[in-house]
Amino acid sequence: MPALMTEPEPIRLPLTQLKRGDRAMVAGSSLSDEDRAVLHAMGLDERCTFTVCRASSGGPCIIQLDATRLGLSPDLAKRILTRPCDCPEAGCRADGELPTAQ
Amino acid sequence: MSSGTTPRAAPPLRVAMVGNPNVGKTSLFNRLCGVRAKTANFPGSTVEARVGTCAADGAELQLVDLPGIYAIDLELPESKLCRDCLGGRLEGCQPDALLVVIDATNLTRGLRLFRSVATAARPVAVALTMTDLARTRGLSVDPARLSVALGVPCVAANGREGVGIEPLLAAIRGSRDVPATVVAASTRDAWIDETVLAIAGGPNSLGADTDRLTDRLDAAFTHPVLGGAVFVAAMAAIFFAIFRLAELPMTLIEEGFASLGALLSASLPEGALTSLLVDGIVGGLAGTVVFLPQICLLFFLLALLEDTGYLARAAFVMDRVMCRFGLPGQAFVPLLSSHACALPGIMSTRLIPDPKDRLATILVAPFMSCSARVGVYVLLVTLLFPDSGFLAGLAFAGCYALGAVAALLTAAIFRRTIIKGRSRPMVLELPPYRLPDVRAALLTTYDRAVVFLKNAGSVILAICVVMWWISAYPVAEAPAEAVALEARAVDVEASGDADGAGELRAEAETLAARAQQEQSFAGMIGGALQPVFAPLGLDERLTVAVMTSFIAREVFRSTITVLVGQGDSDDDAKVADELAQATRADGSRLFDPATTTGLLVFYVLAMQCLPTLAVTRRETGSWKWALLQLGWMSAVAYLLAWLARLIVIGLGGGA
Amino acid sequence: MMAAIPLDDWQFWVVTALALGAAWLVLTPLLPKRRSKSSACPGCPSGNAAEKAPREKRVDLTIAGKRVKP
Repeated sequence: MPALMTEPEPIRLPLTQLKRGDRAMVAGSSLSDEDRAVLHAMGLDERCTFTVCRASSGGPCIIQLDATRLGLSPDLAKRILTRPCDCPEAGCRADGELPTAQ
Repeated sequence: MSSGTTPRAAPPLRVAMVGNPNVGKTSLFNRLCGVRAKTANFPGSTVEARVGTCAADGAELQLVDLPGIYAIDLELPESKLCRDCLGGRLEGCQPDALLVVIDATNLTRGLRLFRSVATAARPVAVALTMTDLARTRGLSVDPARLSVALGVPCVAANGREGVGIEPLLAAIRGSRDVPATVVAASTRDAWIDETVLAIAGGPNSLGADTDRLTDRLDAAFTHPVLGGAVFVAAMAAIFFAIFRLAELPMTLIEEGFASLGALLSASLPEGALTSLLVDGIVGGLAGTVVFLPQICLLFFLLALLEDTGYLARAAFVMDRVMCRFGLPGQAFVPLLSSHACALPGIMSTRLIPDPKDRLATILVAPFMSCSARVGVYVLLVTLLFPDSGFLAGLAFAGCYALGAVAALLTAAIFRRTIIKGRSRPMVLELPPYRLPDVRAALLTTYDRAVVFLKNAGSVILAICVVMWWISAYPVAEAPAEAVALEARAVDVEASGDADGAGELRAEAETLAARAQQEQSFAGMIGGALQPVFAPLGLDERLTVAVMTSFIAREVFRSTITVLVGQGDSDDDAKVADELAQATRADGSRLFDPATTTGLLVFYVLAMQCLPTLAVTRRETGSWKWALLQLGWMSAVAYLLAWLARLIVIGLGGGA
Repeated sequence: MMAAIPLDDWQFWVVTALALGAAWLVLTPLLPKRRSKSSACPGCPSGNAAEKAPREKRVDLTIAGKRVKP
């Protein structure tokens, strides 16, 4: 008999649906490998926590990750999935907190 | 060194500077090398690097400022260039050592890049920049600890303020291979986090920006309405500054060269060589150098604006508009630069990462009304609206608007047809707002000016020499009327009226010049092509003027005033008056409203600049794109000029 | 009115030679160049692995159009 009780899927929202001040982590994308590699190199990967400085309401989405501010076109932002830090499963770092050594 | 011979000086230590974008690498480079730097072009790459020298303790260092990269293994032109340089695959760019520049407020990213270049098997030194900014954000980074962690010399330095330069030079000289233990450790995922923990401290240990001012400025500058208004105001201010501030230096340059030409004419014996020197070479130099003030001002102002951090935001504002036409937001800088001169505009398309976007921008950049067209516009709008400065001004502005619209529509057509394909989605790092570095902007401007003079200047000068030759030969006999006027001038002068004699001589010279122009090779070419331009209302003389300006636009005025008027003069109104009275063979006005309008539209849209064509060929790496550009612009110019003429005739504006 | 080429004027020959040189300077950048096969390939490895890669033909670095000597 299949298991009836499964862990609920963490909420994933496109970056375009976040509001100014929201904090989140990247949780996947529908970007090409090349585009994903560029974003990763710029610091936007699955391990970073970012804050939305400007929501993508018809214009660029501006996010802050550590000391870097990135502007993403709406076309790009809608293809990035995020896990808002409101969710306990998100695993976000507190603002300004150093990564814990593993 | 061989024994028994004078010891040769040790070759300079060649150091490649590597770092993320916006870390202050170029500021350091400028501080170290100053004007002793040149822009290097790498075959097969659209990316530039700057190469310069600096002296350190009597020894020479050769620095290569590689473009900023986020990672060395990305499929982007900048990363490829750095890979090739560090891999020793570029002749003339095989560094002996590396200077990795790390931003103290972005340690994670900097260390990631350090990790990827640490395996390049070259001695490394690290420059830690932005430590002042880090301090203001409550972040402290210890260069000594970083040096221990990385196993190489590490120094805090600030290129803008010149802090830490001597220790930096010492660190470069003392650079060493990254220890094998560090290389091995750096391959672990946790190495970066551990290193940051070891070297950084303070209440805001990641330098996260809590700057509300930046937030507010970003909100304003990227707002759909306010951002657009700010952008328009900024660009209007730039344009106003360019045209107003450049007026005086341009006038001085023109007068200076005119005086030089007059001096040479008076000092040297008459003959072909003197004529070539005065009219071909001095005239050619004047025609190039006169644009320098506008080009320098534009690049200086853009460099300042870029340094403030505003341009990155403006790119997003423009992206909203330009993406509808298949162009990226970053294209606005090259297109704006093309308003001064398409040459540096096309060269600055190198900052556009997507190759298709870049190609589209290159192909449409010459539509933007450049400085060389201004003289033609002024002449033709004055002919169209001699009594209304307001309408003339409106028409002048309309020329700029027409060029910009043509550029955008052409880009839209090309991106849907011959340059199809999705553009890379736009992501830009938005640098912090700061006061611009005037010194760096001046160095950038100097660099661009040198590039312009060397690339465009040499070609324009050569074109002027060729133009002179085809206008000077065959040598026409002076027409009988001119001979008669000369004879009268002698008599008038003998009677004591020197002014009168001068006027008669000037008239004789104009008639002789006209005969020369008509019977020269240039005139023959114009005559042969006149039927092609007849639908635009051009007679043989106008055809000659248009054809000669296909080589360089600015010669239109001097050619037409010789062929039709009394020779060129600084007085625009006087020249316009003379041209307005010119008639065709059938007695009708030559510059009727329909023909003038068609001519104006033609000059807005036609590709009439050989140096631009040459740069397009070079930047696209292919003859076909340059020919496409020439063919498309010529066809659009011809068609729209013809339509404009028909419309004006329909409105009753014919001869 | 007749126009003539002054073949007996030595200055004509000098200026014609100069004009031909200028025309060569103008046309040369527009002519197709022999393609260099030496551009480094996008997929080439970097770092130590580059030394194991087959040696490629080097390309010239130019500064202001002049080749930089290695």
